[in-house]
Amino acid sequence: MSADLAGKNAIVTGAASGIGRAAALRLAADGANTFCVDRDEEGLAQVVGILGEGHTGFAADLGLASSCREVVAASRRHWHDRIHILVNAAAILIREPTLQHSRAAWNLTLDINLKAPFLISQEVVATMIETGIRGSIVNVGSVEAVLPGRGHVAYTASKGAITMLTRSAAFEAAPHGIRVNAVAPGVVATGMNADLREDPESWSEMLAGIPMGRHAEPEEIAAVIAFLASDEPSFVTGEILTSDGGWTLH
Amino acid sequence: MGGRQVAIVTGAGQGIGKGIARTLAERGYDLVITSRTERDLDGTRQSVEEAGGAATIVVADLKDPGTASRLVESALTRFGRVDGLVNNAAVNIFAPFLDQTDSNLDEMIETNLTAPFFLCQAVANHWIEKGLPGAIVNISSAEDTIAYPEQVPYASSKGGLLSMTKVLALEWGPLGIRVNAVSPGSIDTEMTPEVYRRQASRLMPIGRLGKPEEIGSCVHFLLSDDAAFVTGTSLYADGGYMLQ
Repeated sequence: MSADLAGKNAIVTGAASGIGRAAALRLAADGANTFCVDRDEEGLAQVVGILGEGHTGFAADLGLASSCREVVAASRRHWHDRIHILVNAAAILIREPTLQHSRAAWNLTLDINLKAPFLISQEVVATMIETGIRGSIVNVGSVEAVLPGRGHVAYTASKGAITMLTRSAAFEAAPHGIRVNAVAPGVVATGMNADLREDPESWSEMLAGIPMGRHAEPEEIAAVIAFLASDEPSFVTGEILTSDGGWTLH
Repeated sequence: MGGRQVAIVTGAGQGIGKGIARTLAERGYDLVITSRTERDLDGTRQSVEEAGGAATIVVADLKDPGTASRLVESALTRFGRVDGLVNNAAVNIFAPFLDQTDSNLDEMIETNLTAPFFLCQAVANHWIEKGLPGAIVNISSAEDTIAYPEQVPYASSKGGLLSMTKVLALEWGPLGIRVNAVSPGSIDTEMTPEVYRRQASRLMPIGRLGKPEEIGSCVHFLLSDDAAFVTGTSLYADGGYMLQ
């Protein structure tokens, strides 16, 4: 059964590809209106084309604080301040060994993966409090918050921070009836690892370490996001829901 | 997935278990419900039927070694299938550690940990024998992670249940059997002390206690295909209690 999101307005960042795209499609299938954000205008146009009426694309580079504010301002105008759901899915991964990790890679990763969810959540929570909407925010974390990926130092740090951003925001937003949770995906087939999947041998070696013996499709993470975004887990807040096929159990 | 699915829910006579049974019935499950008290189960069956489901009652003590296979057989006899198992039954006897008796300890460990152990075995044996996928949800507690005074046996049993959940998820991941936990915080049931209700607005970030149905919706999600890649995890449903 799909969660019932009929009539709900949802901002989804990173909606042009991967988990964000799957989340936008799933939330829409469950009845939500979406405001899809990405810097990839072509990908965005394609998703919004599939979504059709009632859905909007908004091109923005979330590496810029001003763009984050514009996202919320534009969605407020679009929906007359009524925002029910925010999915922070936009993220980048730059692979460079820790000792050689450049300042540029570090800054860009933290800007997009951590500061953008922070800034957008801040304004969205303020909007929800203003309108009295008991909304739901879903952050996309990662199992890398607990298990580092080689050469992923900035990404790993950003996802570790997402865990505590989620919990801090949840704690302060709880009295307003606003829930903040995260999904922590394991290995998911997205553009972020498309190059790795081109080497079938090392890829299947990695999959062999996952108890379920496979990677996830973005749609499977989107299903978890849809659950957290809905009113179904109305007593769940500050939770990091791992969805990794058992990868981090050992 | 055609037709109604079938789940076994233990401790279904009252409280969280009754809420889980009701929620699952609303979402297309028929149920095998068990408890030690027939009259309580009659109430749950009525609630399940009102929600459009069918329920088979099994009056049994989970400490009895024969109960696990009896529950699985009941599901197969009545409904011809079993898709999910919800280990919910639990006992909590409060006492300072030095005053906890052998019999208290046995009661809690056997009900809260040993019974789920053998039920997992019984239902998974059926699935593995038939080559079927399946899903198990163990109802743990926020106390699998955080401490409260005077509940050493209960907390130990829940810590054990969480560990068991993880190991089974690992062992059965390759077989398509998912094992997860829901760890509730303070839920408002017949057993809830009045003082908890009075303090809820102050002690809970969300400002209230949880409802049994709110655990039911988490259980439903973990049993469903929406959680197809979720295994070995615990979903804390505590109204933000563990954030403080």
